[in-house]
Amino acid sequence: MIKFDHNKLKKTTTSVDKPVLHINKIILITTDKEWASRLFGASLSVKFACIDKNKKETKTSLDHLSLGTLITPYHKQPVLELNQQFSFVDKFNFTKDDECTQWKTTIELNNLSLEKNESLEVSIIDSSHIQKRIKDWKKRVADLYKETKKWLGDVPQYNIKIGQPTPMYEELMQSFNIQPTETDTADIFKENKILISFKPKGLWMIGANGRIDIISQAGNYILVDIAEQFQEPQWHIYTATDRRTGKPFTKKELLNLISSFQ
Amino acid sequence: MNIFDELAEIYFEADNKYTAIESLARAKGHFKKEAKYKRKKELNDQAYFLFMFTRLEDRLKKLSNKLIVDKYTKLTNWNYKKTWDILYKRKKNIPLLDRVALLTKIGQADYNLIVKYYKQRNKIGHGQSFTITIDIAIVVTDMKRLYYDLKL
Repeated sequence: MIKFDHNKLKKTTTSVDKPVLHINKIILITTDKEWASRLFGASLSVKFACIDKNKKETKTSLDHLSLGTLITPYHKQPVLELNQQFSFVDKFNFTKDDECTQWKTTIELNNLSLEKNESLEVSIIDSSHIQKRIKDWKKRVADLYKETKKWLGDVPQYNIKIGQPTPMYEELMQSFNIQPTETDTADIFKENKILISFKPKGLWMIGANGRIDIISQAGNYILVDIAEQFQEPQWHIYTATDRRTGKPFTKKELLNLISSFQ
Repeated sequence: MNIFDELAEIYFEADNKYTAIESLARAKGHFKKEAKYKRKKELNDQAYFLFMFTRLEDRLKKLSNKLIVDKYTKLTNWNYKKTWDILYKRKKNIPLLDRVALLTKIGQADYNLIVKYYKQRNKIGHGQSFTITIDIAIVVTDMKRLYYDLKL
């Protein structure tokens, strides 16, 4: 998160790795209770620079992001969802990337003068954020299997076992050069016969925080975590064809589901 | 029944059939067969996604062309007209996302949603796989809404 205020309109960072910057959203914070409509004609400039061993900038790339919008008094805390990704674009290739000992990223807010009681928060996704989300995803999947095991504890003929892991290498991981990884699958058995299998489908999806497919010979269901990022998971179960009528995934739902498959 | 619902019905028939075989193969420990049917499901997802997106693409082209022709023929003040004159000349070669920007505000929900789907369409169109989780049930809802909601 970068916070711009009336004193600070520029932020510079350096990194050893070639930078990729994903600007997620921008929030205007103000303490004014009542304020008039305002034409918000700002822009952000994003500059990447290669720094060589003599600490000199040898090549740069510059992009602009327009934030132009009309903010009315009804917007109590205006949020601009941007989801724009920036990376270094090499026009001439005079300098090889391995000659860059460091990379400098400068983000500057232009054409907007902030009052003393105002600030602008720029929410950024970086490599460590992606790593954190992958870790969180694996934990939520593992916790779900543990919880399912507990639910099945009262019914001795059923058990759950971890199965072959499934590969995970999603778009944001690729953009930030994060290595492919794996997520565990799991199978629910009744007396050594697989009834249903849990197969994690993906973490980054439109409108949710991850999806696990439940497959069986009698039909398939989908588990979707509808909670916000890094919040306590809220798994909902849906039939494969309908995303409108989901139910919270509970012990009762699980037992109903496995009994319908027999 | 509209084209999206028709396509969804055919898609889910195939998807259910493949899932049942995938699950049976897993239960029997036939992991190669399980992987084969998982792959078939992925290709099925891609094919139907692409088919649905082309319907939306067609709608976006028609709407944006209508807007350009309307502005080109109706505006008289050159200060407003000049941009539309250029767009009119280039109307056969306007990239899809520029067309979307004529119909929805850049950076807002509908624009961002179309961009996300368009990126996936390009991946599939170039022989690659989805890079985000694509859920055909959600795609059907989104495509239907965008197709019928986008207006001039």
